[in-house]
Amino acid sequence: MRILYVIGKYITFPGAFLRAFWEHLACLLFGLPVELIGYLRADEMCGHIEHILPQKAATAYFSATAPGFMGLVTGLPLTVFGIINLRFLGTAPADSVLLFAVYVLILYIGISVMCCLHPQFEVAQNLWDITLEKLRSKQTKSVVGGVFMFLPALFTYVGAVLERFSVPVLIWAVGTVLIFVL
Amino acid sequence: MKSNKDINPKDNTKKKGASKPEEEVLTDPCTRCGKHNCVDDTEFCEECLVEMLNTRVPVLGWFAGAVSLVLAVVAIVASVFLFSPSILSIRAEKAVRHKNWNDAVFYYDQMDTTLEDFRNLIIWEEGSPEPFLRRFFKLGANTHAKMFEAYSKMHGPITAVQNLGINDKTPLIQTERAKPYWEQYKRIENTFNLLYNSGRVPEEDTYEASIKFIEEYEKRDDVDKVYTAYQKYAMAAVYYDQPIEESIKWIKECDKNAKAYGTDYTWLYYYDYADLLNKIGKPAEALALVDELIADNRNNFNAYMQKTDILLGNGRVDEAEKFVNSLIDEFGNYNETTEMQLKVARCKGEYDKVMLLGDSLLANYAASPETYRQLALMYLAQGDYKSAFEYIDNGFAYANMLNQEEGTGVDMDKIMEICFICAKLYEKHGQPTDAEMLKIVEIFYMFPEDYKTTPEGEAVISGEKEAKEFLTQGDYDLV
Repeated sequence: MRILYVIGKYITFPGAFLRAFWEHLACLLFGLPVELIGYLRADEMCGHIEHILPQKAATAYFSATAPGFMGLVTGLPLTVFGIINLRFLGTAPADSVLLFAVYVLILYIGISVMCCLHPQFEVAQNLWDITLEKLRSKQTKSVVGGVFMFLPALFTYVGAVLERFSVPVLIWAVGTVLIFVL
Repeated sequence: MKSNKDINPKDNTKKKGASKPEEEVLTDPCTRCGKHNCVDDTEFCEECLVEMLNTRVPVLGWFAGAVSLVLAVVAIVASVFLFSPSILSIRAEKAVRHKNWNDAVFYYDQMDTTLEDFRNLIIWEEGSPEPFLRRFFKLGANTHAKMFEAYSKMHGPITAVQNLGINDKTPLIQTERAKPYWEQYKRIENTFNLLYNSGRVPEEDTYEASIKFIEEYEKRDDVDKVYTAYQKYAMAAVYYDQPIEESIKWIKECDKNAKAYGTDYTWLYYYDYADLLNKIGKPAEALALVDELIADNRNNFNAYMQKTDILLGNGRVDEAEKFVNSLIDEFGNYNETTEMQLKVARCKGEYDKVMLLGDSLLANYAASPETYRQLALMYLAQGDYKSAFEYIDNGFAYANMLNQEEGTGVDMDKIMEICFICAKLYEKHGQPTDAEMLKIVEIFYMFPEDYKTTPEGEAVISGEKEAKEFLTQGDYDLV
């Protein structure tokens, strides 16, 4: 499982590196002590920053989702741009090898970022636990907060579980092939 | 990862003053350094926490983050511009999947125009980095090849190459999709140049000499054998005294050679092939060929019109009517479908409807020789030779204009035959004015003195039969 994860992260290393960067930035922003820096490591922390798990709901929420949001904001346009140029406008090496290579690179970076949107499993688990705790709370304010957090927390949790097995890499690989074949 | 409820080492004033390592008694050592006691509710000492809160982001991280943001902004702006061409591309591909080549050509054209507009927006002044930027808003070779394919399927590769301005330097010709069409074009172009730019012309003194001339070149490997066979067929048509079997022989050779190439040549000879088969009394085989054309291109209105003509020419008027109605249901009212409706109505003798449809067609597009011809035929069937002559005269003028200006494939033979018949009948039975007489003489001048038109036409001219007998009772046409 760990091997699968590391392979997935190495295949999508630009995304893993950027993910770690956004996580690192989020830790500094939200005052989370970082235990170990190492963006691309050959273990389950590859593409993540080892930091102390926050217990405050807001910190847990934003530190878990903000790096993913930044990934989405940068990765999605690059992916769309690459697909538009290579698939719909049909740029080929015959046009210009350099231009074609640039578009392929942009698409690859975009997809690799999209493959690394989710936090490490423990972080997602922490957010999920906090959300459930809030939902079970007897205070109305907490329950309302839990309701708002529920969907992003669930998305983050499921995404993190899938990312442990490099499933997003597989999904994006198959999806990209289908986009170009169909 | 460790959890931490309230990480705030600076607030921990109690331990701050008494944190000299040598004096400290390690009751709860830091899990990171092991040299100091942990801050309350954490697993780290104060020094470690301060250090952990002030880690430095690597320069490469800042660089990658900044680059990704800049790229994303550029990608968003470009994607907004390219969104509409992308939708057009999707629609074009959908049309291609349904073999609606006409729609595909339309969407690809729109896509190209939209991109051209964007490219023009980029040029803001002389000397702008336009040549560099223009590279980014244009059809790539793959999509351009699809456009070329759609054009080739609609009009054949020769027209496609001319319309799209493709040459040896156009990138699309290197793509696998475009190769068969481009190679076919090059073969035909080479053959054409050999035959027509050789200093001699294929139309030698006699038919046999012309065929021999073409066959001399046919031995070469770089010559397109389908095209040469088609040229021989054309020679059989040029020399009117040739029996129809001669034409069929060459068209069959076209078919055989096309199969050997394995490339689509239906655009070149299938319409003629179907026409010939119909002429020799094999309408079923002719219809099979036309159906093949339709199966390969659902927007092929030329094939639809030919099918209608074959059905009408064989007296299958009801079938033709049903067929035309099904086309109107599927495509709506196009000029082509209205023209087919008009032909059906003429065959059925519904002249009011013919006039109505004819007027609407001419109002939409006045330069329609076939509409004039059909209206002339209607007046012939009614014995109104003056009107028939006027209409066919107009049709002839437009046909000439179209052939000269646009080089479109108007069937001049058909127009001229009806022109000849109308002129003969009007001269014989009408009272042409001097100006009309001049026109009639001009028309006769285009034909040899002893010229005989079709047997149907001759029968009508001689008065043996009335035009109506042919035009409404099965034969459909006088040509």
